[in-house]
Amino acid sequence: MGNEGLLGEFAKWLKERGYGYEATGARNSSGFWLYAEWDGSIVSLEAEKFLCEMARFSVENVFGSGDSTFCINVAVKWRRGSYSEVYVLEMKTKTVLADLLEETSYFCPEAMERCLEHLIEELEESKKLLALRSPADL
Amino acid sequence: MKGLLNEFAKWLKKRGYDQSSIRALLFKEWDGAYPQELLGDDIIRDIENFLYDMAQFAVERVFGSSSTLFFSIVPLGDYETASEVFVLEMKTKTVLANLVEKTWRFNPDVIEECIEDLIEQLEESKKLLSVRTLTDS
Repeated sequence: MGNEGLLGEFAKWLKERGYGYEATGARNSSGFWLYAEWDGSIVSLEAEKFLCEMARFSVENVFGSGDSTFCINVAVKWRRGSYSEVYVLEMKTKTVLADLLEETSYFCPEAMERCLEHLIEELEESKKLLALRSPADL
Repeated sequence: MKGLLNEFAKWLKKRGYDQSSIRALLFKEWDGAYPQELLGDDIIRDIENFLYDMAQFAVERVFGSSSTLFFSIVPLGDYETASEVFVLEMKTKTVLANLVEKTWRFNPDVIEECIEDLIEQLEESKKLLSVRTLTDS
């Protein structure tokens, strides 16, 4: 897989946040995470951090980076050999904007791209829900 | 032991916790981010399992154990800073409760306060849930 498309965009976003860009295989480079299948030896904190980055990238993709209208929180649970969970929450309206359930022990670029697409689609959908839910209702 | 903690202790027992674990978790101040004597291979998972049980207990106390709602409990353990637990309802996509607390030196008073806080938030969320269930249908 090359650097085109959503994964390429995600790679650039990671680079801006200090991740290495080259596919060197180093654990903290975006290459290791993005363009090779995860080997199952990844520890939970690293994996959770990365899943969190995927969710934050999706949020910025849909809502932009400078919008302070919302109070967005990301909750991630990574599980070895089982399904990981990602939740994107909006705390002012107490709304679950997106959720993802995915087996990530042997995460591959195709699955990663599908997950990003899923999160972005759910976040786009959530705009309608957010428009109906005012913090004043709470 | 106080009323709510006593109820929680009985609930934990039904879920398979033995008496010594319950004593270490609920009767004494924790000697770190989790009682040393109960530490498994992964302290974060230990903390998260306990936070999960606190939230599950609070959910069952407020909504009963046979509710048709679709709850999701997400505990995020941390042994250095504050841990967090979210209670979500997925049919209405609602955040029902959120607790942020450092577990270092957890003691019976703090545990009870945390459970009370969760119960209070869940009770409050009932109004929101009924409005959202109505609106969504």
